[in-house]
Amino acid sequence: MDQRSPHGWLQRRALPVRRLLLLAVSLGLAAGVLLIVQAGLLGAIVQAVMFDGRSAADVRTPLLLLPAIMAARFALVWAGENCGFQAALKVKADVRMQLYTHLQGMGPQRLRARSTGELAHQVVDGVEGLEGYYARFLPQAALAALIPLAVLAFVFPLSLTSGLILLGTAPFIPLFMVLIGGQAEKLNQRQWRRLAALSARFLDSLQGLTTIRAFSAGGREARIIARITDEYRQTTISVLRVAFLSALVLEFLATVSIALVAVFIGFRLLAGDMPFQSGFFILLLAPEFYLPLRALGTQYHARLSATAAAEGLLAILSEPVAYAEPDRPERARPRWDRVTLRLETLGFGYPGGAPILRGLDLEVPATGLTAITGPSGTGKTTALRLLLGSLAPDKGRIRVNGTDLADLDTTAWLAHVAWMPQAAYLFQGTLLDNLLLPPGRPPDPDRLRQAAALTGLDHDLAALPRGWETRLGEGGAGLSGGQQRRLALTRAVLKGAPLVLLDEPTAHLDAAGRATVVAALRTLAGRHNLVVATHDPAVLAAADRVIPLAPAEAAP
Amino acid sequence: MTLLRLLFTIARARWPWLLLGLACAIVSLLANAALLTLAAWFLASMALAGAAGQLFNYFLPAAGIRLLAILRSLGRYAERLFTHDATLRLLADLRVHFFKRLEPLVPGGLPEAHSADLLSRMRADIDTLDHFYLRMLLPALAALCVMLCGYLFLAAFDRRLALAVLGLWLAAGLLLPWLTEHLGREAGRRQTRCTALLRRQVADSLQGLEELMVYGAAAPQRARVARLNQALLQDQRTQARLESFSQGAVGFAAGIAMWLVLLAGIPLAAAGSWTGPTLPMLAVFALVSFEALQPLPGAWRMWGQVREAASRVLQITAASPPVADPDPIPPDPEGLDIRIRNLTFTYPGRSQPALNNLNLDLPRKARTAILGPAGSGKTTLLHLLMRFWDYDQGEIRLNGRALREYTGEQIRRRIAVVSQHVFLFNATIAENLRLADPDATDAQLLEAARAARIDDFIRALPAGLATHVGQFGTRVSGGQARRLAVARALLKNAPILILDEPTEGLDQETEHALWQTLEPIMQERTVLLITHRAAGIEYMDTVCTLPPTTSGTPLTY
Repeated sequence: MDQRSPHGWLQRRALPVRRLLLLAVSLGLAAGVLLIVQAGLLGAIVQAVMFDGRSAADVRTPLLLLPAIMAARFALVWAGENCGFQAALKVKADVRMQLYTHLQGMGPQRLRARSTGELAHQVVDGVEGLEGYYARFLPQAALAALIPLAVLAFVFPLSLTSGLILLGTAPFIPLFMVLIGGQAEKLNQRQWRRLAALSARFLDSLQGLTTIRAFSAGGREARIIARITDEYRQTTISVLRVAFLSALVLEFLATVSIALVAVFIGFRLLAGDMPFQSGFFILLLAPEFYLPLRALGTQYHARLSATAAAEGLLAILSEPVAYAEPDRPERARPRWDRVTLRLETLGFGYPGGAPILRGLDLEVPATGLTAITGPSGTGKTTALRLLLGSLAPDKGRIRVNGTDLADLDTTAWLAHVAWMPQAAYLFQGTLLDNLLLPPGRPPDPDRLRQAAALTGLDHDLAALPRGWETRLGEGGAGLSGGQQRRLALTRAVLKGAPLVLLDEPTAHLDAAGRATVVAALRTLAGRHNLVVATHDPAVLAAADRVIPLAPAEAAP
Repeated sequence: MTLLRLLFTIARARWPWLLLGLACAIVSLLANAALLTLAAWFLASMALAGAAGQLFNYFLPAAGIRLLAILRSLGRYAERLFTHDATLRLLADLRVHFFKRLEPLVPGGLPEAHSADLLSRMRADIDTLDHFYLRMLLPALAALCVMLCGYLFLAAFDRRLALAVLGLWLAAGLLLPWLTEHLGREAGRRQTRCTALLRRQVADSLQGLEELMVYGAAAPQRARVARLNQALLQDQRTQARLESFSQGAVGFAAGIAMWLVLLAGIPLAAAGSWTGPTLPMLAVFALVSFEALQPLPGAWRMWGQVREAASRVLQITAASPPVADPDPIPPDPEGLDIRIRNLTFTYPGRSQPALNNLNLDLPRKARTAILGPAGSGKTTLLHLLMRFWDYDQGEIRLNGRALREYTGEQIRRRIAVVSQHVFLFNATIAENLRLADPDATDAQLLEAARAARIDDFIRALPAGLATHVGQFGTRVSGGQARRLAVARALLKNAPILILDEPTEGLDQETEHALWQTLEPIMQERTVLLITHRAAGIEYMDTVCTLPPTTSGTPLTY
């Protein structure tokens, strides 16, 4: 099987749950056989009463047997269906975590270019789309082959023609299913992609709603939403129309064949060449012959949506992983207390763009405040991300205590770094949660107090009635820009890492706030290696080293 | 009750199609039952006639069987088409209604809502509601009709038997759905909540991945997601068990109904009060009459999920916006003098006011700077001027009339904002600029870009105005985003320009260049500069200093 084919992928995912699926099929088959026995008993009872003049007492045994068979069938159906579901649930849960792990492995740099709404949709809802394939389609596909065979085994000895009618029409059902299904599959896949695009579009509108209001564009945006939902509705109904048409063909074939069998048997009975019991038995079995095939037709759509969902998931899973998990074993995992940096003719350019850094040489000792400055677009942030390791240099290398950064295990290296980007991400949760302290240990109140006093967050905390337990909304909502900045800085301070990278630490702060942060930077610089990107004169004045990045360096 | 009202109100506009679909469903179900019942009667009659050597008019029943077969297939097709079309339409209506109701709630009305959670409501929750119409409401109504017809049919032969079978129908169609719904209710509710939480956690972990990795929190976060995934699995497991149970149970009830027909019918047939073919005919009818009930337990098991989804939608559509517009709409304000007197505002749930007793005059075409430290209520003042919140005490007057006598739209149309937080949509540069003026031509866009000194950058891009800015505008730098915001404000061409820390986070050179850009734009406009440091105040006529109070909330434009 092709590694990239969604069908092959879906089938491979069934391997770990094959026992459950096999059990589901066996139980379903047993229930089907019991149904045939039930029909036989019913035929025998009616024959005995109607034609052989027997009384209720004479047919007591089969009459008492019937409810027992029904109860047994009830248990078999229950257990069989449940097995299929449990198999599907297990596959879904496993795939979801596989996908999540893969996305984490792709690394922040690659994720930044993607729509989070679409990815989150794939992880949560895309995976749900697989359920029908394992819970229903796979077991039903096996039953659709087995139960009609079992029915035929009983019908053929009784009436050759009825058997031939059933056998003759049966192949049309899978045939039409495949013919129409191919068309539906294409439509369906397109529909899934549309749904993901629709989600991304909605998320964008919702996140920018304040901006939309500021521009009085709410009515216009509502019209756009109306238009795209309506387009989505139209394409959905056209996909469904194909599905309904295939169902119509199947339904028609099955019902008309049953009618044919009924009329044919009627004439045999009138002519007297068949006992009523056999004719009635065949009539009872005919719907059961088509039932699994028709159910398969319905479940075929489960397969279609699963294929489409799998395609979206595979598209993510086939993207390269930046951070291999587990990391390559040959990479070093040192534990340093101090970090000195040496940048050797470092060069970097974003794909498709001009080089941003060209041959940067720099030596940074283990303590002190190093400020990288320069107009916007000269690569200040890029330089910090290179040190962080979330970008890899095109040319040259970064040596950490003499070791090439490229040879270090990512997790082990990041343990040495604290980082505050320009737009530090704040999670929904309490202020305390947002410090991202190591789990499993209660936070040390003294350290928290010291760190907050250092960054000036202590004043903000005093103004918040719930202090550290204050809950933040999305993107830090509930705190002012300056407060968010101080919270992110406190997070960086509390990590106590030997290397601290800060991007514009004094942005969004007022004069008093900036003075506090500059003092904090000086304090930290005594014990840590502090590298900041800044254009704030106060920070530049406090720096031990200033590295100007000239626009000339960015020129092609 | 409110929920049911919501569900029915939504459906009102599409009821003729829903009813038509319902009629088709009933025809199709009755045709199938009649087909097999008639076939059983036909076989028995033919066999009896054959045994007695009599003649039997087989044309009519044989034709009836074929007709019913066709009616059954076509009815099913038409039913699906009508009901799905009507439901998709009403859900599309609801989505637009949702968005329209949501708009005035942001940013003031929903401080706690995560946009991924709002997305869940607008997309997934509304999609869940299709289940209510397609799989719960219409099939239940169709089943009721079939039960009624079936009861009348059976009662013609034996009333006690009809009552007993009716009891079984009710058990399978009413009791069983109620039971499975009741048992699965908690799990269903948890499942919806769990899914929304999972979506939010996944979005958080992807957007904040860099922080999670640097602070060694990626593994705990993964564990959190894994726990939610397991919790979801557990709830779905409970649901699956109930679903399989109900699948088996309806079949069992059908079997028992058939058995009851035999128990009651055998003595009656032996006594001759039933004619020969009646017994097999009614036995088959008892079996096939359960087709209408088969999907009900599985469908109604979802009631919890549907209700949760509907209530999450209702939370938004029924919420009242923090700022009410006046009715009737007054004539547009003519002058532009803004006068603020004794203005005090406290955010809900906060103890200290964000703005305390502010007095300020913003005369027409004057340039005023408000200088204040973080937390002095500068952003709050902007919120109040933009009518995102309503003030508590004191007043803001526009040309002599209180601000709250105008609609929010009337006010916002007159104000353009350039802020440090620029929200750029994940769309092209042109689309982002056209937010301010949907009818602007490309030439007008480039003209505004030229005034904002970003046209060289745009022209240098291979796709020009059609270039996509990345998510959150990541592909343009901070300075460029600010310039795009200036171009957007220019296109809006509003008489009042509010600059909310416009140069924050820019280096000195870029900052200086931006002020050079803004200088001609500030001519002929009322300008309000909000800032915490002295940047740019040399371009202003008056400077007003705000004393510190407490914190406001940040906002993106």
